[in-house]
Amino acid sequence: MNRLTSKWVFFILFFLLGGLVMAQLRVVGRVNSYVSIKDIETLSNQINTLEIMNANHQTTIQNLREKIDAYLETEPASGDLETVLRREVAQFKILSGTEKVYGPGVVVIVSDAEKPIVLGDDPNNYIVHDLDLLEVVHDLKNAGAEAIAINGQRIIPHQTSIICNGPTISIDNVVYSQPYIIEAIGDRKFLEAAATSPDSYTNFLKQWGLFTEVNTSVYLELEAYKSRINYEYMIKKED
Amino acid sequence: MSIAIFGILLGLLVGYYIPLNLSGATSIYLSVAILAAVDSLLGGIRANFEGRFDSLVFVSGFFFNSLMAFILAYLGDQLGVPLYYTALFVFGTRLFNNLGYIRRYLIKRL
Repeated sequence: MNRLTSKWVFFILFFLLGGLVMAQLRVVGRVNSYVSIKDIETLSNQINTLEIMNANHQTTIQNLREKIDAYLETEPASGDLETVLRREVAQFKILSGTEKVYGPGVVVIVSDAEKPIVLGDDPNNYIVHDLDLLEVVHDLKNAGAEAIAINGQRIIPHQTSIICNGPTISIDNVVYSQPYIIEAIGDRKFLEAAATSPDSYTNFLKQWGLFTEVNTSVYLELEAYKSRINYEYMIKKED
Repeated sequence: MSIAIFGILLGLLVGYYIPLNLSGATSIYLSVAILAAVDSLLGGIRANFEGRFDSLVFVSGFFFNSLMAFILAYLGDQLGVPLYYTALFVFGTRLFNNLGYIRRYLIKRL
């Protein structure tokens, strides 16, 4: 057998040996730690949530791309950028709550308890507080309410204040007394479920003894937000 | 000598980057296969020194021994008897024998 062949044979076999050794090192070097089913579930939930968020972001990107395309198409074709912008301004007005809107939704009525106070019980347990209204509003928001008003006073995401004033509640410095009628525009079934399901805050208030009532409606009209919206501190960040 | 070092380094590199994920259960087979490979290689080196190197014998020994060790380990796993000890024992003994021959040969050549 000539020397050249034997060299190559040695080379190949040493190569295989190296591969085997590294495979073994990789197997041995790996640490298998204990993972409980709960952890796996939590992690898979997280992954699912992230995937959904990712899909949402993708949709947002897609929408923005389409918007850009719309701008680009409008400008040279008709020179009518103004129409597009006006349409957008109208949309933003609706979004910011400064426009009167209508649509289907639910009406949630929350009022103080009607049962007599038991001797020695705290009267605070029988009246509606600002927190209660906030939680109910929050439930509705979570269920996808697009516009919300309490006693005709529009609630907007960034400015509305809901403060307890003893037996009354002030919403954006306008004082209201009970009953509190919360109107929300959105998917009627979702909103109703959010206000009547055993987990909902409205249901909790009912269990607590306060008066609550949930009705759906095919036509609700919500007034525009009337107070001043002003920003003093936040400034648009230019990229 | 240089070809051995080069070969083993390349093998390590390829083994590191190959996207193959082996489970922990295979570690015993791998260890036996490694021992068989080392045994064959030392046998080959010894035969080379003694001038009776036959690449067919060498290569067939390398693969056949590895395979046999692998089968023994698998059989042992199935039967619940650690049969791979036999492979470890035989290969280990022969490995040191061959190493002894190689050492003596090198000392003689000094």
